[in-house]
Amino acid sequence: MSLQVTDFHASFSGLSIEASFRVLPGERLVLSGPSGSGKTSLLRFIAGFSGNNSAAGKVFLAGQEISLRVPERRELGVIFQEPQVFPSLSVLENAAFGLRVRGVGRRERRDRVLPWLERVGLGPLADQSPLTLSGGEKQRLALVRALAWGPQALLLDEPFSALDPISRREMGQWLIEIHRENPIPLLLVTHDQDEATRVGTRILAPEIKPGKFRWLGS
Amino acid sequence: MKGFSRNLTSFFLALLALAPSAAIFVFPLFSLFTDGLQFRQDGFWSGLVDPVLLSKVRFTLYQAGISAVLSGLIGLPLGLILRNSPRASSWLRLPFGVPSLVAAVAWVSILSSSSIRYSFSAVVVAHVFFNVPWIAYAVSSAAASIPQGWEDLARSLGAPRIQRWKVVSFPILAPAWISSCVQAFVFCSMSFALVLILGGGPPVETLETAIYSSVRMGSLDLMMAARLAFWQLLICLAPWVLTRFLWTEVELKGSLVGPLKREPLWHHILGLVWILPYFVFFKDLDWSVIQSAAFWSAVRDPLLLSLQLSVLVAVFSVSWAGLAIGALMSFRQKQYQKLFELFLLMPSGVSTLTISMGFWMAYAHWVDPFEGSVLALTLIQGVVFFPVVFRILLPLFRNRSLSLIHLAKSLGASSFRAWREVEWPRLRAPVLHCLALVSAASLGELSAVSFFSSEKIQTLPLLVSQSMAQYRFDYAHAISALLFVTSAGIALGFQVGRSR
Repeated sequence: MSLQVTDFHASFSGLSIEASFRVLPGERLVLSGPSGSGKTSLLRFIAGFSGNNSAAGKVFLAGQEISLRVPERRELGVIFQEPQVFPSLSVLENAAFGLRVRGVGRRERRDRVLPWLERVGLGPLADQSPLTLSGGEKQRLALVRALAWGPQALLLDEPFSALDPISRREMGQWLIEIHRENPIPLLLVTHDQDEATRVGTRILAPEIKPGKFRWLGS
Repeated sequence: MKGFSRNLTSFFLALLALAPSAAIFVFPLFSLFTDGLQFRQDGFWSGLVDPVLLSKVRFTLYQAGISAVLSGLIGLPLGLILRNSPRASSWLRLPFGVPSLVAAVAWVSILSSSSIRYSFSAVVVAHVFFNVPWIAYAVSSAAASIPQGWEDLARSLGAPRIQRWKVVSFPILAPAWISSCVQAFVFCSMSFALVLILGGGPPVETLETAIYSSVRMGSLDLMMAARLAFWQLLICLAPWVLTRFLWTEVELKGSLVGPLKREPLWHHILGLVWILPYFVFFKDLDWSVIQSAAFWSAVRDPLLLSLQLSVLVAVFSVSWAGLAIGALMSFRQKQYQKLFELFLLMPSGVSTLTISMGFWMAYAHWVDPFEGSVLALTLIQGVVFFPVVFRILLPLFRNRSLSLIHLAKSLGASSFRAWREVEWPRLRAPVLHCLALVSAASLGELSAVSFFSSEKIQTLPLLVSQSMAQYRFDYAHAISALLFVTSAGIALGFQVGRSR
């Protein structure tokens, strides 16, 4: 069940971006490149949030093309750069949102999500408002929320960039452990070399030519 | 020692900020209850449930309820349609500066050949037109403030449209929509000029116009006026308090939904529809009246007085708001801030006529309404418009750029210099906007003016009201046009000033 991007090309601000690569199950592929190299645009394209009309290409998940599906039908877990929470829901309901929209009942949601929250240290805060959480806690919540419903691949857009170095290491370690237990394709975007080598099982850097970035991998 | 001096400064600032509120709002209301209602006397309670009085209460609730519900039902979809069209939705702000009196004259003109002129329906139609832009603007602003990230997040988790609406949009939109509907209800309950002119007399008499009738129309029945004011206070203040509790601040962070690059023409048309009625009296304008020397000689003094009053009121309410916000920001504890804010905003839940009535009773020794008083008018209008200014400016002060101020200070700037260089450029435009808004609103204010005017002290709105009562529509149209142009001129002048 791999995630594959083929023939991706986009252009913005005079720059041209191309990409073709595959992420295998159990693999943590890191896209590591300088600012403006199209990492986030590429990730948003895969997730279905491309605001760039010039972006085109194909995305396959488990051999099926998902490029034409709306984001909510792509079955991809996404963690955004800014830790986002739904302020009207509790910490637990935030974490269980993916299950809720898939029709899982309240009790089962609680039973399935609480162990995840306990694991990342948010168990005691489960019934609180997410607005009381720190930046690090919000990002841990985002990690649980993205995985709890069982996505087929996970996309992370510089998820730890707003955290302090200790929290970053801690989050990176959690991510690795959780991913080992759920070996789905994982695509991480970062500009931090240290993080890339620590978290990734494979790193993909762009070929840089004047006005052009090419992300090509196997 | 430093903490003690800070507390002392905070205490004196709070006292200074509360002084106008105590003198112009609290004491008058207290006097209204003690002197006017004479609640210690027998017959006080039976007087309050007098059937005639209760019929006016019922009618006010019915009228305001119908107007607010219709406005809310139209305002919600309109606001949602215009959420990503900031230029089109800015048309919705224009009617805020239109005096309700001008709106009333416009509607009399529009409905001139209709059977509903001077009826309940005319009042409801005018109220709906007056309130829809306000509700739609509140909804579109709330909708535009929802970070795009929330929607994307919900979609990435597989939420269909209805779930996204329930979890992302509704929690933000509901407080804005409900609270603007409640405010529309309060406005319609307090509405004076529109009901007085479009209602056509006693069958369509709300509490507000009944207060006016019992004091200024022939018979002087202070007891009845005070009882009416009591009910009016209850009807307006209760929903206002409800709104304050409904309004929960939600942390909105992250990039917002971007505006559309090209706003569709029909969005602009949808926005413009709500200001079109106010141009109608230009069509019916008798230009010979405008060109006559008699007209200008009749309106010259009222025009100058209206302008003078509008400047005084604007300066008073903006300065007071600045002082009050300074005092509020100096409180360390949030619950004190909340309480102080609630108290200062309370006048927005009380009608101008109720405040005027209380003011008269409190200061009867010094101010005789039949002699008129510019000072009373300035103070009453100031207390009425103060909450508007306070609500506009408070969020800006709360989002102070402290790090930039600290940076300026670290570079050697004094506290004042740092404030002037960092904060003032950010605040200048909203302060000018508030000055314009209050000036325009004061220019068209009729309630307080009806109470504290005399032959010597007459303003333009009063002239319009008198002309309408004497069926001199040509004069009323001409003065309304003048009022509209002057209000628009002030608003436009400040707009040009703030963009420089």
